[in-house]
Amino acid sequence: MEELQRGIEVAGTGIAVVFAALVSLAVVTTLLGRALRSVGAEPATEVAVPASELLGVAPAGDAGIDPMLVAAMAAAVRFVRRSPRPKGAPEPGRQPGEAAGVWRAQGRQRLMASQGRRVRPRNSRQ
Amino acid sequence: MLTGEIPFDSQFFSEVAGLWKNGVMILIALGFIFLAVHKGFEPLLLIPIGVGIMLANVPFGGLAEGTGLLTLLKDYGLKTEIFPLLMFLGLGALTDFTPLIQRPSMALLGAAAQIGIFGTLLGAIALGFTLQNAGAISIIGGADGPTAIFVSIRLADEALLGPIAISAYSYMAMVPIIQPPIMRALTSRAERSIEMPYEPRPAPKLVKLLFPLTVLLLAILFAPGSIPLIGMFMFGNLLRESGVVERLSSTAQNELINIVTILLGVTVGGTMVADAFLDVDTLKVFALGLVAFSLATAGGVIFGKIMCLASGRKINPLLGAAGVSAVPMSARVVHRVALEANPNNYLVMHAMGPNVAGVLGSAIAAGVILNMVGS
Repeated sequence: MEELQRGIEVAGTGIAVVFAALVSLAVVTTLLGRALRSVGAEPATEVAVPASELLGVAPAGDAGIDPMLVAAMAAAVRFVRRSPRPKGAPEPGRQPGEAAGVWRAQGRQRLMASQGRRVRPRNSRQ
Repeated sequence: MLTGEIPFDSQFFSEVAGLWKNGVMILIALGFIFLAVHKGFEPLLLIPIGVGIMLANVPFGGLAEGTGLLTLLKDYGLKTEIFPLLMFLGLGALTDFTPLIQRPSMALLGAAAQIGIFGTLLGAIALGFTLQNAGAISIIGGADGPTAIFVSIRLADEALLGPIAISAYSYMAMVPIIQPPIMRALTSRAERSIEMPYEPRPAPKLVKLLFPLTVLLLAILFAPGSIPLIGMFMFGNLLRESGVVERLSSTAQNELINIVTILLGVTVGGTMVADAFLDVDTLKVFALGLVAFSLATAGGVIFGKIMCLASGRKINPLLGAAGVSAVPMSARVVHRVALEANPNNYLVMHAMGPNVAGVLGSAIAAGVILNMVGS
């Protein structure tokens, strides 16, 4: 009975210490992460040199382009990338030659129709 | 009726009559090797352990007696704690804490799963084990072989070292069988289907560098008994994260851990001599090991449900099962069970956070037990 009592004591203390240690670890890690995110961020998120400098082109503002127009274009691109694609649509950034079958077929049909040729989808062939 | 002079002395006959026990042990060894080779259950450990059992029980072999090889390995590698601690060094070098650094709240799930350890402690006492032996047996619930061996060396009777180590490694190999039914029983399909999009947050290199030192500092503050384990683990991790000792890190991750795995496995197997192993206590240890793993899984999943509710159903409660530290097996099991419920649910990266937190949690729990129970 005494052993069991001592066991309960060890178990209670043990689980409390484990929680306390790991909660402390979570808190310290979160704080460290927040404090040091700017110091040692991953290379992908770090912009040491402006892209325009690396590419050897003048920044958009210097070229006389309206910054509002640039912002609107960026927002539009972001919106298109985020919005769900129609079924069968190619992924953004894919090469035209890699377009999905539905789009390729539709393009071919339009081209043929504009040249006055008869449109007959392949799958209707018997 | 045999009369007259017996050609051999009675000790010879009693030894021959006792050979059936060795036969049983050799069958157990063959079973381990079969499970490793045919079923792929923890082959890196079960093959050396199986061979160790076989060598220790070969009649008249003498490897586990006197100055036999297995006895020497046990005396100089196990009893001195060198093998489990070197194993921890290698494991630290292999462990990537990035998932935990990216989502520190997952550490709570690693803590919750340690309920398995402390629940089993009480169960072992109830079954008649002393507090010291119960403490060593309960660490099986940490699902961490080297930790179980380390604590057993310090606390348990020598006869229990083999059963505890074998039980820990056997149940670690059986995580894919033990965990899923408990996970399914404790969660609804809707809960298992909760999707968690993976959005990796940046893990600054400086945080990765400071992380092992932070863990060590917390171990010193909360559970000094865990310092040998956590110290070696974090030493290995620092080798990995420092980025300036590639050769040492690579050695710790490959050559060192492979050598220690062979030596530890064969030595643990060598402790399983028939007379010590074929005992009622061994059966009790195995039963308690199963209870420990089940309780750990249940504790993690139940805490996962609490976190799920608290987060507005943004956390899949299955992640709690990964708090059982069998790395990366339990994370894979979580991923697989989640995929069964929802084919678009990819949880493996999320599960690695509680998984590595479980390793730390079990080491801290071991430290607490050593501090409170150790003489």
